[in-house]
Amino acid sequence: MTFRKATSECRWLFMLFISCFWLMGWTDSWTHIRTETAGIETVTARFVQTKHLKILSKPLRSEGIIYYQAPDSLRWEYRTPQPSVTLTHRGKTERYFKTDSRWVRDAGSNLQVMQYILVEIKHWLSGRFDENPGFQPELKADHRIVLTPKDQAVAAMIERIELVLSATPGVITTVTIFENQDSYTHFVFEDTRLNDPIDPLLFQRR
Amino acid sequence: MRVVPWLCLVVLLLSGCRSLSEPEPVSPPPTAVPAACQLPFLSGVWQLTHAIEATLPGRQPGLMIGVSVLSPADETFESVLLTVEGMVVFQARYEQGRVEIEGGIEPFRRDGFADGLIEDFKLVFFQPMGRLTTVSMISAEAVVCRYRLSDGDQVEVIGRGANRWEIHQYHPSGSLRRTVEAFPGDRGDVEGGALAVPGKIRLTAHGAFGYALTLRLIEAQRLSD
Repeated sequence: MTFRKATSECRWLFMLFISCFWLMGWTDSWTHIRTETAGIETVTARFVQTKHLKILSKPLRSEGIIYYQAPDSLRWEYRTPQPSVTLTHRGKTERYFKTDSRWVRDAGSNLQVMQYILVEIKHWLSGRFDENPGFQPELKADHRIVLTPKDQAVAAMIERIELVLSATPGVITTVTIFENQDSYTHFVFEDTRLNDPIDPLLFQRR
Repeated sequence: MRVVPWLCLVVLLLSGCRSLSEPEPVSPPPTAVPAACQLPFLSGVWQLTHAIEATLPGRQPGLMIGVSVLSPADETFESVLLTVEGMVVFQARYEQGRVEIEGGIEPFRRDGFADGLIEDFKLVFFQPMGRLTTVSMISAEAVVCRYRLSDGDQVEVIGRGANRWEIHQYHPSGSLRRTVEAFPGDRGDVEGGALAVPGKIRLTAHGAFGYALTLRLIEAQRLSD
């Protein structure tokens, strides 16, 4: 009886060890993350963005879809509430938004800020979380990566960025950009598909 | 054939140089603001979220998201401008004539930008803080209320029914400074008690450094009466 109980406990501990190992899996070191994401050529995911501000009675919600093609093509598309598309392709970033049933190019100066963020997003999607010299990366035990800006100018805009990785290699579950204690933006990624073919025209103006 | 472009130019110049004309006053001098002229202005405390399209002359427009909490009765509002991705580029609070910039990045933090934004915001959402001088009918459905402000500017509020109104602000010299037009929006209007918030508001600042702002309503929420 004692032997059977001990065997059962051993089996349980073994299962726990295996699942912990599997969960730690690809997120236990920067090297391991890079190795596991090395074969990822494309990423497609739906996202829900919620903006939290002290003055908001409820968060501002937006929904969209993201397409990434290695090494540097990105389509960041909002479907609601305000349709807009940011395209990064061959080093050039452009944004278009829908107004009165037509798409127009955005000439706003805030696009420069977004170019900085988009470079960062491309790093994340290709598993290169520790490659931006502007951020101090920390790999936490609970699949969490915390990026803290080193540059004072960036720190004035972004306090820190927290990413939560999925157990599936290459998949990011959430990203939270903390601007300060009263303002942060939370992204939840769903239906992430890796290495599905993406029409190259999606990264270009049509 | 060459006359056509010149005619267009003359028409454009004339429309840009519109000046204040005297409407027929309703006698005797007004003592109360007619309901039609109060329609553009919200009562209670509101949270409004707009997609804001800003256009400078000769340039493509830029897009931002604007979130504002305003209380016209307290003459107070707080406004945040965001990129569509959620980055705060400007945050300011206005309280009874006092402006406090609470956050943001260049070039939005510059004094000129904040001052202009506050003035635009007050013109669109607050009843003119001046003396009502004339009330006139310009058609069977349209009423004009004219106010004289303490700085000499004059403001006309033209009520054309629910969700259709205009505001004209004139320099003391009589030249047109700003125009605000409200339209029912393509997303539909949000009902809020006795008043409805227009789906689209277009503000045009006239003159050499003119610009245009189009505010498309994303959400309107009445926080309290």
